[in-house]
Amino acid sequence: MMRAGKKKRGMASHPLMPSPIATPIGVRWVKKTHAWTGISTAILALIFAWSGFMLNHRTHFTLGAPALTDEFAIPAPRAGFGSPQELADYLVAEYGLRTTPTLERSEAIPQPAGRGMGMNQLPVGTSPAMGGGRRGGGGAAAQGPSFSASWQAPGGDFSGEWVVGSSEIAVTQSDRGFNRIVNRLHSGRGLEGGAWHFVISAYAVMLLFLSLTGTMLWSRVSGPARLGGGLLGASLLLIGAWIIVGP
Amino acid sequence: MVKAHPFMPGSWQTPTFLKWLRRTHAWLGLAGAVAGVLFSITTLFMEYDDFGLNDEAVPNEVMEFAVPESALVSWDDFRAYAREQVGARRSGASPRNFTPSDDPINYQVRFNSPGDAIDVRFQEGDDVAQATRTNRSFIDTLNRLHRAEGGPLGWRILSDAYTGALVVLALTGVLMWSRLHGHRLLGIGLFTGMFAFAMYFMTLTP
Repeated sequence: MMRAGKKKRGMASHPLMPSPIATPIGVRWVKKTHAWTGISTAILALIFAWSGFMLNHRTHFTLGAPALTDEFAIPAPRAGFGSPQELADYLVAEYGLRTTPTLERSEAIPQPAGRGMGMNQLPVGTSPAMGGGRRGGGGAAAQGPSFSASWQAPGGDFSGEWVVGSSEIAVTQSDRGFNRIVNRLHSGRGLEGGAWHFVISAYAVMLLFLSLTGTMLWSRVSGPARLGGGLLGASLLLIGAWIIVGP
Repeated sequence: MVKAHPFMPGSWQTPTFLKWLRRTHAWLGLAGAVAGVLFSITTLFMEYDDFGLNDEAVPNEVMEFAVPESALVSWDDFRAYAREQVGARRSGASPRNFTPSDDPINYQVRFNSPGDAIDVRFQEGDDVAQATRTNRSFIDTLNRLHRAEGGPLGWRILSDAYTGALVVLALTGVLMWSRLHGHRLLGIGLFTGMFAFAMYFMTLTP
């Protein structure tokens, strides 16, 4: 009798949990997995929340500007370079760069388009330019064909450009401030390899799981079921409204 | 003394505070649950190229309208006139990386929303202004909400509220961690392990 009564109360105490799961074992399992997933991702929640806020206001915060940008020229070898890859190899040997470069071979440009360094947005349909665009032209005057190699990492960028036949390599080196670093981590830009992208995906799955199990764990201690369910429905409607709203 | 909540300072562990913690976590969590689903699913969409579900081309509608002299005095006049012509609710803005010029006339206005955008352009010598409507797919719309692209101020505030809620949820969640959930050392290990992993990427230089 006592046992049956307890069990019944246990079920009712989580009104938003589907009844097949709402057994004592089910509730325990949901609570435990929610807790473990939560503590594993707590630090990611802080990082993504902070950077999410910063990115949300990316047009207003100047906090994201590179902490330090250094432009200088180094002498190029007399023999020059036959390809962007050779330029990259040379810079790797000189500066001990660790990440994989992006190589580019540019045709002669009559008048390069000046592009701002910060918040430029790529055209619709491409990935968002969050935290630092590619440097195009760099304010240089008309020039002949050139090779360039650029390296990106959350903590900074490095790029070298060599105009074919010239005796110098133009180097741009920038270190990033904290906000730019976390913004890059948020959007996964400049992060080669799968490791961090795996973290992003894993965090997404875990957040989905936390949202669903968290809803299930809504209990009488938290508040009345109707009010809770109402809040859930209201936020769904609110988000739906933004989706439908036109320009 | 063995504490029931190993990550909570001992003096905080009163029934009243615990109840308050649980309620705060529960209400913020439920309010943010839909946002949690939205932001996590769109993260997966963006990471995995929309799972190939989003490759159909979206048709654009193009319309043209004549522009009277009075609408060509300044970009702002043009914007107001174009808004009337295309029936936009938003006031319209200059597209990014575009600076309007009065002489010669070169005007562009973008009326944006998460789901659609209307681009209007008029240049010196044009007979009519051209408005292009871009209809975005449902998945694109969700992704754009995630990135707050074309989202109005209200959406930004809502997603800001979510970032704030996420911080509070993470902190209260850690505080509420109890022995019932598992061994505290494993909890500490997971937390610091993830911290160290994130730190590695934060300090990565080229």
